[in-house]
Amino acid sequence: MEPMMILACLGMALSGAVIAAAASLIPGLHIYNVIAITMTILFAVEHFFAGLDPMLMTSFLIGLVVGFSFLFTITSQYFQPCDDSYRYIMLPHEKFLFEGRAHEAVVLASIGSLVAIFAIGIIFPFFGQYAAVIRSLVRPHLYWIIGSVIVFLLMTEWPKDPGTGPTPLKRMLDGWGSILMGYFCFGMAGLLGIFIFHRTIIPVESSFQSLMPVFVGLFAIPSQVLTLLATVGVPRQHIAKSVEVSGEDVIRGGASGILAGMVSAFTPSLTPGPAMLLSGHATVTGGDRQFIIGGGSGRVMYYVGTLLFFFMPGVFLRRGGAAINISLFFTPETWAQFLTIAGLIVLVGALAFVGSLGYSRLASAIVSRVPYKWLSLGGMAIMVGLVGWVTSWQGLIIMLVSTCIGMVPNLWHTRRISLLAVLLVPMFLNMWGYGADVARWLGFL
Amino acid sequence: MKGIGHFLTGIAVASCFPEAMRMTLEDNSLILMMGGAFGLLPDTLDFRVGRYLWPRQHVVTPDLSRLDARPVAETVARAIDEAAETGKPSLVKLNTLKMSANYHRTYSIYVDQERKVVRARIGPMRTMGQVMGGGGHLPRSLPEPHERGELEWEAPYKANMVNLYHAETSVGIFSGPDFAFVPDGGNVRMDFIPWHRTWAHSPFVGLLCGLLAFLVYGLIGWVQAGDPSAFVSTTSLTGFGVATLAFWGHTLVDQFGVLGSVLFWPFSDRRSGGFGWTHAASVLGNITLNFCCVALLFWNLIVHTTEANIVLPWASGMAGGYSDPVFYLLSLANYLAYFVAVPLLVLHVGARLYRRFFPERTFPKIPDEHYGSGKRREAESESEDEAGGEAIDGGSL
Repeated sequence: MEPMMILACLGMALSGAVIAAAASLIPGLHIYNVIAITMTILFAVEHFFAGLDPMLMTSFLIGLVVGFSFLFTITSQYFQPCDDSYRYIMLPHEKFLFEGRAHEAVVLASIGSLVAIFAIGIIFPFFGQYAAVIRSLVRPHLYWIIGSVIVFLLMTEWPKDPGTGPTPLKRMLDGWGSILMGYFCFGMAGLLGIFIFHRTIIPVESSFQSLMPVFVGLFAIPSQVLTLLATVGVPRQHIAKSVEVSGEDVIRGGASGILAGMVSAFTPSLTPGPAMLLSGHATVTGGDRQFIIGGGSGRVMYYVGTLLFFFMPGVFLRRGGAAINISLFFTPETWAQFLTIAGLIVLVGALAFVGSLGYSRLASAIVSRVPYKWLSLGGMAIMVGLVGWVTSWQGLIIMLVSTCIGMVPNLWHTRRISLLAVLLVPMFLNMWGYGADVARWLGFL
Repeated sequence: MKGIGHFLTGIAVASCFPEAMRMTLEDNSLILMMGGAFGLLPDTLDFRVGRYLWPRQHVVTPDLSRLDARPVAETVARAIDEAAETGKPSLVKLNTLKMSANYHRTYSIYVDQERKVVRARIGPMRTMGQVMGGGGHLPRSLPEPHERGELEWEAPYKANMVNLYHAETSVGIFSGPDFAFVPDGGNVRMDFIPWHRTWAHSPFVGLLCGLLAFLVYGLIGWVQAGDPSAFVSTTSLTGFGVATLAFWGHTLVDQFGVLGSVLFWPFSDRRSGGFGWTHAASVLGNITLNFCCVALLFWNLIVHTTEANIVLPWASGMAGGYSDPVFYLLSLANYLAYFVAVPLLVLHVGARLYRRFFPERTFPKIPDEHYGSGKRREAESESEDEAGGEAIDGGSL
């Protein structure tokens, strides 16, 4: 590949990262929504880009994904404080915010992301032949693997009561109350998923974003609603000059995230959330720091690593919104393309790491000047507007239903991970071969 | 071991049945998934059912507004003597002290068998991430005790104690531990979380699970074939084998820890001691188990694959396939050497080297000749960790 072309690709990738930084200011906005909107705009002015090398647009989207995977959680960490009364457990980064250490949490997550970037840059070029073999080995088994994830999630839904009831019956009812609400949540999300997969009401022209209202409703809006209801204050944040972290935390947290990203890359419908839960158990991560580092690492490995598999000769794994959108105009063929993309990812990732430190300061400054409720209200308005614009009123209805389901875990202290049944259940049924039968039995077909 | 380890053990065991692999690839059977479920079932029964049904005679809940170790130590000491005097088991529950969604106040008990005292200590605050709460970073909303009792107290007891488990128990997050003080000969035996690893971990219940799977697969075969003679088939026998061995795999893996299981229920309620090689929260122990299970599963995927013809280097010059015993064994040896032994060696040697050059950070030791620091144990790590319950919800996209 020509040096000038490589430089042009780098320029496009950096442009993508800048756009990602701007979009990441809206807490709760998902990378695939941004890509979809970007693609909509790009296709609208298709003639302008017709003469360009597809590698340039590909580089732009690569930069978008890398930048977003580093930055998109930062504003959520600062702008969405956790109110005790709605939660059974406070996540480590939420706790860090209350301790004035949100910047430290951002740095830890960015360290994890950097670990994943280096793993992608160093391991992936030598991993190609094994990835292809693993893919061919696992492919006929995906249905029971997804089924196993479902069974594991259900069997490990744990009671949230401390077991202090006076009688065995009372204790049993206390314990199973939250377990059953978790199952209810899982069931409702699963039903919604089957409906969306088999008989969505989203207009055909917006069908490429049929999951957008579902995910905005299940995850983003409930978080914003809880932020609006919160009565807590965000303390003054301390911008530390150094970070306290051991090599063991980086290795164990990073490894856990990398494992989660790899597993979710090869398993359809397995997003980083449940994958992190599985890998966290498997590698026995411990402590807040390892959790945060693992989160950063897992996110990048899932969004970026999965995307790189798409360019890997012999693998060409088309998983996730980014790969699907890129495949509309670009067909990867050569190792040169793969190595160029891998190099871009490492470069943009390293820059995004540095950028995340400044981005954290920016978020800290914003939250100290603007009440977080206004930020949430603004974010919610933007997301509802986007859902309405992209998927019309039908999408808004689906988003409303999803929001109702998404509120359940917050109000009954169950795991939000149950909501991912919206993907897991229909994918499992379809791959098992009974998806259409179940949908017909439910009256969706 | 962690729940995922037991689940993977069940799947790995199931994958060793050639008929199970055939059913998976040809019939879209969920038998491997079933193996995982039966592998995890013993802990699910214990932590979702058994723990609630277990009776309690003494319940300890220290008052958050007046932190006092005295009632804790005295209640446990009284329970020990009560068991010796009445000849009946005495059951104690130590409740946790939740302060907020993130903080718990910890306390610990130490049963000193030589001096015959129970020592209780009020401990530091700890987060749900098992990290000690730093004084400078605590939210102002946390309740402060109005008055302070004894932060440490020793209560004497008279009986002769036998404790095969750890001497000190720290009561931290989630739900607290149960203890049973059981008369045993002329002594009193101390059983930690006595409802755990009892009937639900016994090989006998594993056999019952096998029978259940046999019935289910038998009925499916009968209905599908429309012939009662199809009830007993390779499929139903495989179902029996998978469920039984996956369940037994759980019991076997647990034996590597300290606690052991009740192996001869319903004939005996006594929990056998484990081998003590590892414990439920051990990082290397869990990773090694999980890696071995995944490696075994992948080996069986390679042997039974229909989509890829994978020939390992040592068998590359040979004719035939995995149905040829020589080819199979040579490939297996190659697989074990390259993909199991080498990674495990790297992991264990790397971990040892790392620990040698970067020793674990420790807090200054409190001089106390009566505290067996090597025997300290976190109650919750043996219980909640093992059950697959986790503090952290990774439910994001």
